[in-house]
Amino acid sequence: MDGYQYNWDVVWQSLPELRQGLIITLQVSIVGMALAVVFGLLCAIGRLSQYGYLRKISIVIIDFSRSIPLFVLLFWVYYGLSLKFSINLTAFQAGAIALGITGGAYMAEVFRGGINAVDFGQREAALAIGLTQAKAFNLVVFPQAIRIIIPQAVNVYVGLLKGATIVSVIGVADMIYVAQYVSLNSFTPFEMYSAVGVAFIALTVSIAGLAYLLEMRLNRGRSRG
Amino acid sequence: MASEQPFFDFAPIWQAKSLLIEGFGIAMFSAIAGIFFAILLGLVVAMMRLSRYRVLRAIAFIYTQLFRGVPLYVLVLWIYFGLVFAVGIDIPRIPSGIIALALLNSGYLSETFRSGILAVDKGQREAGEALGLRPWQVNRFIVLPQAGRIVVPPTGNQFVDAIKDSAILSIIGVPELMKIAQEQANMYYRPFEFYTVAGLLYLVAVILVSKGISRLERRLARFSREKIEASSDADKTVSEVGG
Amino acid sequence: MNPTLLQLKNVGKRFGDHVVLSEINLEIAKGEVVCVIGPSGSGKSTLLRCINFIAPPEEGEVIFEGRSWKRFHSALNFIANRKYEAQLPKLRAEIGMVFQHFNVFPHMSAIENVMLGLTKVRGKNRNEAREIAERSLRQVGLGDKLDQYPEKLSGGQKQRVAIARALALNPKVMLFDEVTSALDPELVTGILDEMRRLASDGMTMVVVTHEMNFAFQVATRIVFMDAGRIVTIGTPDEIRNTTEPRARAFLSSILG
Repeated sequence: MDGYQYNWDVVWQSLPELRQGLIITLQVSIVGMALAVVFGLLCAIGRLSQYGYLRKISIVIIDFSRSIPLFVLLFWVYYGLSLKFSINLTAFQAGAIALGITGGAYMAEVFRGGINAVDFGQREAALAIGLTQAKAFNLVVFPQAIRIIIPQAVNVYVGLLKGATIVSVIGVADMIYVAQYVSLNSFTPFEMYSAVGVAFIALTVSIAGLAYLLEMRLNRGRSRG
Repeated sequence: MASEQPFFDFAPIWQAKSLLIEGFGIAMFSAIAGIFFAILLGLVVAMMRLSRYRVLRAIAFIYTQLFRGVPLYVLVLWIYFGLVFAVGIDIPRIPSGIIALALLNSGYLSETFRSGILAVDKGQREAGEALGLRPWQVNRFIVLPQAGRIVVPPTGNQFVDAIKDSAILSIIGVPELMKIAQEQANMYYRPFEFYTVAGLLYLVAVILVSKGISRLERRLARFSREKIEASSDADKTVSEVGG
Repeated sequence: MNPTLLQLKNVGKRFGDHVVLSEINLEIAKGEVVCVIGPSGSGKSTLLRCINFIAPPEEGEVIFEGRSWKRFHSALNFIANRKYEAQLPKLRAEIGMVFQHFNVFPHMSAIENVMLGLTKVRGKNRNEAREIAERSLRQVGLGDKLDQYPEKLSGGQKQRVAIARALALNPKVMLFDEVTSALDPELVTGILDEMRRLASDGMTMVVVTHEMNFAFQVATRIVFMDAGRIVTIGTPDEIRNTTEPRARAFLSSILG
């Protein structure tokens, strides 16, 4: 019990590599988030469409994307799809796609929730003065929905950032990959994983904090029109 | 590549079916056990956050921030590999996984429980106290039953997340569904088939649980019917749905 | 009598199995003030929403200034739907509407609320729109609140913004949907006075209201609705002395 010599120097020594790994994690998660926004917007548009079958298709797509674990999606995309259809995806691309699918399902619900949260009377009033459907949405509904959407989108991003840590499993040289590699050589998994954990907690907590401040700001002076 | 191979080769799946089912069982067990302990821990932490002692509140706050901020992957590695070296406690794979799921989810659940308790009208507590109930009785018989109703849906969602998250336990070798799928996929060289089936099994589990939650939710909603009716205006509701 | 401006022919609306409106026939002449009364849930608000197709009627037609409007929806032909929907703003721009819950746009100041229709529907440039909007807001007594955001306005002031927003487009008819129901009692009179002024200026109005005194004083005709149908129509005097049992019961429960 008392034999273990903590070796925190290893952490300091591998800081440049860890930083490099963190940048890759951020890159994967940001590309994944971009895909998620596009995919989520398409699903949300389908979900809110006036056509019943578009709504049904969107619901099925959202349910699928949301119910399958990110980990399984990652392997399915990287090993399954690429072998089946002979598409050569890099581990980075596969990671971003898997994150995009999972995040897209959440973003679809965020978009839909934000749009639905705008009082229905707002749309009615916009149509009543003769605006087209598109203008009513762009000028009246969306500007109000975006205040609800942005903070929640940041939360989805935090989720993706944490999810992005698993891309090291398929060989993306992210922070965990570095930590695993270093700890195998120096027998310091406790120190390395602690460091990585602390880095992530600091990162996610501060992003979530920013989202909270943003929400407060956006909510300031919000009242029923 | 083998071009005579069918698009979806079902034979290896069928051969590995008992292994897959077993893995599915272990995945479910880990998720259920994880969420069970998460609920217990979450309750304790929620009570601490609502305590009148500042120290307890601070500890509970840090706890929630820690476990809501750490990625499950890192937590699992830290518990299974890190703790052995540093503290010398060797926790087997499955318990390690369950502990990780429990800690992570308890961070989220404590927040859920806290807001559920706070959502109970203050007048309820006052009315209980006015009847002469002791503080624990007020909690036990008045506040918690009402808070319980509020926290059911978010707790259910947390359970769904735990089912999905359990796939990550494969990285420390817990023989759950994803681990089995990986092994079999490599053995038969059929990753597409095995990961598709694994994905579908998770999908079925998640959808069944979600369905169960929404049924429960609807049953509980009957209690708060007045609220729903009070907020609806017959003319408006119709034009909302129809327009 | 003045020529007919607006006519509802056999208008019906249902949601699923629930019939909200059926066999609504109503002709409104230019300059008329038609008040619609009836118990809540009788379809009054939906009737207004059928006139400007915010909730398009499934059956029947609305004839406005000689042009007939009917619901159109194809399950598959997206393009036809779009073409049809692109027509609706033309109808709506000629019909002003004021709502129970004001529905002013919270992310725009009072004057921006009024300018929106002028610039985006009427295609006026900003200076011109500003001028009209300012005049419109002054008319409803908000000359000193031009740049205020709705959150800083009282319910009565919000409703005035909504009225100015509708009037600025110079509509041929105004629809009022229980516009005083969400107001504090002391603010009701002001809004009703605003509507009296409009009526005496000759505006054609369809007013859904629970304010019986207003209805009996201002209306040229009163429509009594129940369960999605028009039960009886008549001048205020005719309605006051009606023998129709449901209308009698409703009036005696309200007027005492």
